[in-house]
Amino acid sequence: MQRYPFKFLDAYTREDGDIFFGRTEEIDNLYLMVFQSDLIMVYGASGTGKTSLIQCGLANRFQSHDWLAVNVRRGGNINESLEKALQDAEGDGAGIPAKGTNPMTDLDWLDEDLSDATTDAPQAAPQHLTPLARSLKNIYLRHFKPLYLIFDQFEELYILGTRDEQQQFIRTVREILNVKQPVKILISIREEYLGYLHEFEKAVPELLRKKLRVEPMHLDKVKTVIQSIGALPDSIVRLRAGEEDALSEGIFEKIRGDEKTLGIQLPYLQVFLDKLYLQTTGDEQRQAKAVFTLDALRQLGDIGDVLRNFLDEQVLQIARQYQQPPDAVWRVLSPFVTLDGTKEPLTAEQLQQRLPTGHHALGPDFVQNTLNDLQNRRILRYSEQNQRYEIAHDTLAKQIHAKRSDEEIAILEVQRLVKSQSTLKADVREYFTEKQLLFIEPYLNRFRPEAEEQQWIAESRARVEAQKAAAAREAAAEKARIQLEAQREKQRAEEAERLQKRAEQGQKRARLFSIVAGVVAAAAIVLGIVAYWQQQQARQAAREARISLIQSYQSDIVRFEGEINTAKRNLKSLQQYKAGQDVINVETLEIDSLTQLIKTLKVQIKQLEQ
Amino acid sequence: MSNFIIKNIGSDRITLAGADGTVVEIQNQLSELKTLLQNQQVQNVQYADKIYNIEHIDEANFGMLTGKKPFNEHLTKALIEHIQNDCGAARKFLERVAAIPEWEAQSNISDKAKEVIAYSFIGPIGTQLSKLMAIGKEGFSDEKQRKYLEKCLFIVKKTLDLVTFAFLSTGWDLLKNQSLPLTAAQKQLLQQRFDTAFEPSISDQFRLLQLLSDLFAAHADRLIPPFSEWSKVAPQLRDDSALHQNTKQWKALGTKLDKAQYDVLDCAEAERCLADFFGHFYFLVNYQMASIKHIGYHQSRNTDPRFLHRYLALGIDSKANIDAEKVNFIPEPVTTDAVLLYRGDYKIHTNLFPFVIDFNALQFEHGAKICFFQSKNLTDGSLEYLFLENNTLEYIEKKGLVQQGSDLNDLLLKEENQKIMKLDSVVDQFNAARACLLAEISVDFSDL
Repeated sequence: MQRYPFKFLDAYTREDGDIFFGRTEEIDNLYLMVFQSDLIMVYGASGTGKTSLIQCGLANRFQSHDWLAVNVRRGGNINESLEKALQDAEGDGAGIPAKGTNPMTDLDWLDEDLSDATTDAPQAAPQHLTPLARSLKNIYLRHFKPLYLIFDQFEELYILGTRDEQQQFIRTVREILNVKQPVKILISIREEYLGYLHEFEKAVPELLRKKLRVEPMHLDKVKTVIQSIGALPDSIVRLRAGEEDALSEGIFEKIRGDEKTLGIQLPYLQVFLDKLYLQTTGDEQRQAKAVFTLDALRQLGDIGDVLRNFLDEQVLQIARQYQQPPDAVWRVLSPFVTLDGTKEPLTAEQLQQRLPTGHHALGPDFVQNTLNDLQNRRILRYSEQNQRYEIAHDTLAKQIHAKRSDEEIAILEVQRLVKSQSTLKADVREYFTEKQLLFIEPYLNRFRPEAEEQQWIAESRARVEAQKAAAAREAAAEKARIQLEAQREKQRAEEAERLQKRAEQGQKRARLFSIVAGVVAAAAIVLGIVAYWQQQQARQAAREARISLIQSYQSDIVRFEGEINTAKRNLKSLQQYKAGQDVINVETLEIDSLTQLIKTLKVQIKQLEQ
Repeated sequence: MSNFIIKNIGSDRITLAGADGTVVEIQNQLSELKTLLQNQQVQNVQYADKIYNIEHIDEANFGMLTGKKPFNEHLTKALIEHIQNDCGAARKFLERVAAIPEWEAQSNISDKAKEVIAYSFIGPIGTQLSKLMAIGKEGFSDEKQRKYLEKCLFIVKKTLDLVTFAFLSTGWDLLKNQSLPLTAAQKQLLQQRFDTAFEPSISDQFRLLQLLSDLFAAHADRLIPPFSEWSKVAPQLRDDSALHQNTKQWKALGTKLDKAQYDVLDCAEAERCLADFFGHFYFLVNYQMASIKHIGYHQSRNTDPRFLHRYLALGIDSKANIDAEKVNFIPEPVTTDAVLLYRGDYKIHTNLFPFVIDFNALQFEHGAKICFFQSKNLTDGSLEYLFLENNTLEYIEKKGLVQQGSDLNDLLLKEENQKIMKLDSVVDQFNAARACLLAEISVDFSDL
């Protein structure tokens, strides 16, 4: 049976092994790592195909009895999502009943680790398993396959998750790594969030020991993808013979456009190939056979940003269908994207809370119809497991983010600010400041805060008002205190002025008496000073003469030491080259006489210093 | 004589269609089916593209055909009973189920037994048995039947390989530079295992095991079998013994598999044969395997040295985490890169290297990648090792990094060189073992 070979914005799965090309090297490396570590990190930029690499590339390396994949997305809380995914994998009615939950039959012993009881100690206490360990054991007993826990879009834990959630997840991973059953963990994360893993790595040192970077698709790989798909026996798409290389290169060039990047993102390639198919066949059902040609490629013209144009077209078509402005469709899409431009999966209820209210409010029918249409056009996905809608790919989320107005961004910032406190436990929550409230309050009628959030905002406002009233009372009291203090200060100044005046009069009388006594004493002092000065002048002259002589002797000593060193070097050289003894003697005598001279000078210096 | 085609199998009823289009419904019982076919004078019945001769259907395989009896039910019961005398966990299990009639038909109890089996059997064999259990739990399909037969055959071949390698390793260790007097036929048989370009057949493996067992018995003064239970197994290696018959049955099943002429009855047959096979090799539950990942040397001044062995116990529960490796700080050294087979305490062991290698240990990686020697490229002398997890081959050829006059210290500075040298040593050790056991000239390793 012939099939349409493109996946559009969907990730490739195990069933798509025959149409997944261009990642052989990465798959080989990843497959190798699986046997070298129980925890593997796959990272790369958005749109590089990390999910497809694991869920299709790696999965197809294993036979069905060697691969039990449990995919876990964060949903509302990664720990709860993991628990649910494991429950689903356990199935119902299988495995070991929890201790004491099977009153009909005495099968509690199934929980025991019999291998630990090989000592034959009949009373050996059975080990009680944690719920997680029990779950993993039950899954193993149900399937007897190695379990691969795949945490896709792991960055969501850091974009949307709380600290408690992150901490609990780290503890869970530690426990998983220590269970007896064969369980491996694969984590896929956008590379710009690797830095967030610092704390995780401290607790789980092997976290980044085995990691694989998924690169964007380079020309060679794009060629492999396009040409392999064109050559597939059951593909409805063919490449015109002789144009395979030129077509692949042309497609690559068109997608990367003027940016001339070395690689392109997979969603762009997929959307472009779909566009080329529709251009060639016009068959929306995607059942007609197509032959891609250079002519068809040229007719596409300058396509600009493939993904942005695709999204614009789809939004416009939906808006026309429901006779609404395109802005209304963008407003439905907007809540699914975080302020950082990443996906945020939402339940229908959560979406309702985030949609605009007031005069921007959207009708419930329009919202539901738009959601359905967006799903049909493969822009949104609905996960039955998490009961959440989400944007089909992060690359689309970026485009939606770019469409937001300043006001929309402000509303989202307000929402994030409100959420930042409401998601915390009550005992660690902080009230909004007045500045924050001034930012929040103008937008309160533009979205629907939850009751708890509204209450927290109201409590914050009440607290701010109470603080302001208390501050006003404090200011008035301070003013009164300052006035009283000023009055006291004035009185103190007047008293000081009076005392000052009295002191000045006494000083005038004392000054007159001291002038008379001073003149007599000054004459006697001047005569004494003249005699003393003459004596000091004579002593100074003698001291300077001694110092000058000492300096002269010291200078000689330095010079003689230099000459001694030179003589020693000469002596060494003469000895090395075996010069005549008479020459050596001359140098030796020179050193001795200079040494003696230095000694004499040092004795004289000592005497002068005394 | 036309066939009846089974259209649907329910828990109580089976719906069949005759060649003329008539639809018949009978009770889901073999006796009913036999009566129907007998009355209609029909010999064959078709189900899911396979045609079954009613003569070949018995109560045991009828359950598997109709899905009433799951794959591995018989095997699980048989294995747990085979190992009960040597495995405390199995014994305890059987004590617990003593009062439960047909416990093997209750999936939660049977699964517990499967778990005991997978965790009790020696490393790689336990892992393979777990895979067989996984295949048994898959939905009925032609692929499932093929995989089931392939896995049964694989388990038998690898068990025979493991036992054979244990004998070869022990023989090499005990003989060292001595040699055994071999007849031309014996030498040829032994040489075949070393110099084979293809995976040996089960018949070849059986004949080699016969030879090794005989040689060890004939030279009991010098050669002690690697398994203390061998005296019970050795008589089963006679021609036309039950074990010999068992290997013949495997040969027949292998032929059907090669010709894609298998059906679910063959799966039932394979299950029975595997249970019988482990009736002889049950003693393997007494043994464990470990891979030596790293050896550290510690000696403080004026004290005796001690060695820090980092090793990984091999089995279904062996992990690839850093902290999954165990350590043993003892005065005794152990061979580098060894894959040990031991009973209880690994100080007394058989080193299976280079017949069994841990490829990850040779590449300084965590986790075990246990590969069995499979064949040899007779042109370039490179060796082919089978990675048991996924049946892929690792090719190891001697790069000859160390030459006459090479500065070993300089070479060892680079980790990549160390990896190459480790792989080179696999080839060297293999050739040394071959030379010793075939009584050929010994290889000089003084340059290493």
